[in-house]
Amino acid sequence: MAKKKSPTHSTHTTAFHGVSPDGSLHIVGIGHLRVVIVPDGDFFFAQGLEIDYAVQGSSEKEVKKNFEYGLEATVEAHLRIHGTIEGLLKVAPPEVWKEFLGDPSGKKKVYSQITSHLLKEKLPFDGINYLVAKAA
Amino acid sequence: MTGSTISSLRLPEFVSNDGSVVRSTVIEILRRNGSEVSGQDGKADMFLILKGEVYEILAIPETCGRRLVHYLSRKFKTPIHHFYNPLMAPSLPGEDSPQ
Repeated sequence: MAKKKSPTHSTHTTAFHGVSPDGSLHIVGIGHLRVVIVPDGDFFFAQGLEIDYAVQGSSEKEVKKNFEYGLEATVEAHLRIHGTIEGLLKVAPPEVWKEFLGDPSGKKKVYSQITSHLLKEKLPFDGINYLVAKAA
Repeated sequence: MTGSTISSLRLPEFVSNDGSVVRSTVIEILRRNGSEVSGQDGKADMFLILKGEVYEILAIPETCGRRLVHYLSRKFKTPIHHFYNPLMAPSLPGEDSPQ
């Protein structure tokens, strides 16, 4: 008797960005981002597919750490400059998908992260008291 | 047999045979092609690279492997051959031609 196949459901890469009412706290979530890790000589190289971001590391552990830290730092840079992550949400070009998905040595990983970014810089003093001189 | 000599092809000394490039060359070539590259406080290997609308923070290790060099070339629109022959890269503003 044929075994029943469990229903497969497609998983899509998701990204969300929420901002607190005063605009100081940003919450960014990236879900189900596919990352392919391939050996590159003495190193390892990780390439994101749905987000075109890549890093190198000396070991598989280090390349994952570099990817996580670098992507989080890049998200924060985009938030500081543009206030949005739209510029970061660029899919890798088709030739990159073909190269990395077709590499038999590649390890396919799925990556998700939720990060919070407090962007309001605290001033090194309490505030500025403006004293306006009265006209004589 | 003729008396001709066939010499083997030799790469310039600064080019490795595995496609890797040292960090100082990678940063110099990115800058010569219009990217701004700046280090990140407290993180020795992390650099902010900015060119036009594209900016990223990523690790540039002491030795960059072939795939990372190709990625940087593609992402920051820098001709790949400049990384392997820096003499072909354009000069920085206010600098004499490297040739």
